[in-house]
Amino acid sequence: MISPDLPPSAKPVREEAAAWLLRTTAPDWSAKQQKQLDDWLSASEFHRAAYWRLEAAWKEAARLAAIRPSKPDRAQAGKAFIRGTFRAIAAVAVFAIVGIGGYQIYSRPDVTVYATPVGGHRTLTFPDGTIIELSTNTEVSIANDLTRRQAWLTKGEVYFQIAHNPDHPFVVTVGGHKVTDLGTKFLITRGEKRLEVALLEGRARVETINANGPQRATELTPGEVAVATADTMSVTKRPVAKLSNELGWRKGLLIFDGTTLADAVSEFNKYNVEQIVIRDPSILKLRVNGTFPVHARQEFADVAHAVFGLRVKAQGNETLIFK
Amino acid sequence: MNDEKPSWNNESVHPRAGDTAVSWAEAKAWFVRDVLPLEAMLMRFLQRNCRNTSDVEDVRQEVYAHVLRAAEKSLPERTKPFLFSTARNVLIDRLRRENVIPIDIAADLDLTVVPSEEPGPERAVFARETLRRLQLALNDLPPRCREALILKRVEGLSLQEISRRMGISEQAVSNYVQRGIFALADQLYGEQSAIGGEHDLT
Repeated sequence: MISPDLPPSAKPVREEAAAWLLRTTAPDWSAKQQKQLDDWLSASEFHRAAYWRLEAAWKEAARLAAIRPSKPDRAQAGKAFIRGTFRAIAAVAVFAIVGIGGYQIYSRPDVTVYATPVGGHRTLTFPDGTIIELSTNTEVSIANDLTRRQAWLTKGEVYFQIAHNPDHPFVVTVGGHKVTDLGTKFLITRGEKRLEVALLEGRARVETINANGPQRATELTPGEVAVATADTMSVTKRPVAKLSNELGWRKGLLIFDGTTLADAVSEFNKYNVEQIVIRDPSILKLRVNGTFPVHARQEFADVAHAVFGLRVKAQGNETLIFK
Repeated sequence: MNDEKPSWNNESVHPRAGDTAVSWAEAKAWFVRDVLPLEAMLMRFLQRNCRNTSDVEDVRQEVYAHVLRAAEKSLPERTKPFLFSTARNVLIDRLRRENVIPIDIAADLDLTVVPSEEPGPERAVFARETLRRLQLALNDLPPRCREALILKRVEGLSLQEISRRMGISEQAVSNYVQRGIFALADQLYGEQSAIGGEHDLT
């Protein structure tokens, strides 16, 4: 009955499990890392028990939402936000609001979490005609009560084609920002430090909801891209044709038009476990044109070889490109 | 109950090898749905029967590992008796391993008493209860730890961004968030605030 090895003590296993769980939440979590995690889980049922327990708790914690410091100057804005978003479940919200040391916590309505792995692509179609498309390595939560028209983007890139309803705008919360559709097709990309909202059709408002920082808001018209960090928000104009190129992934394509080699490679790396590495800084700025299937990493390297005379070498999981 | 004794002395299981009856996903779903809600009850049972209360978490982990390994071969029909008979076996094994008391005395321990049925919460109540417990967990955390956890879980910020906002190292953020995860799990499943006090990573 007694296994030859003494069971591991709980603390180190638990800490390792928590460290893995935390890593999975990073925007750059890759399929390669997922495989390492699976290997770690395979190694022992102790690992699985500890990891699945913490993971289950972490998922439950998705119920926590909309926490704002209850500063007096922000109190009004906070209340307005709650009135707007939580009216439908006022009864729940009343009991759910709990003040804790300067914070107020509200419950997030019941949500379904949709996620894609690296290289994944998923299209959600809703009864009102709204289409939500998830690109690679993406996680988005959508309120189960569709009349609420709320979504939260945890990581990745999502294309929204919203069936507009003037009485109930669709609101996407992305960290400290929210994007409100005003009849819209738009693309949200959540990076490590910055958020990009590209508007293809209609109008949309992007605003900060982080009560600590400066308040910023902007309203986008088609072809405009809002780039927001924790502290800044700027708007640039891009031709709609170029924006459509950025949406090539919806058809499984990467479309490059005067794109630098550096950007093209980082796009490929978003969709593939096997990574392309540029070994030579001097070639990063070369401009690339062309359309490639998202997984056609090898074909891309071949073209780099044929067009620019660059050398290509496979090494383990990586494809090296250099002069 | 003894006939439901788990058989964890088999060869090691590689769940991805495809030779097991129960997939990882099924075993995980069973573990989260049927086992974790019994954790508070299990903790009370272990606290009553562990000589040293600081061992409780180690024992719990061992019990979970054993039930999981058995379930990956075949899901038990009745989770509760299976969980508690496993717990009993683990406790006896530990006593033997530690060589603390003769085996025959182990039989006298109050290990056969499995907690009586408690009424399960209704679904609607369950969601509310979950939220209440999440809030309790947050309440009990030190403010900085709570802040880091909220920025991570609710705002979805990266460790780097949180580190910048809070003016502490990424490692410190990571420690805070980890500690927060333990508190959430303990409060949700174990309801053991005494255990929560041990989660000092510093």
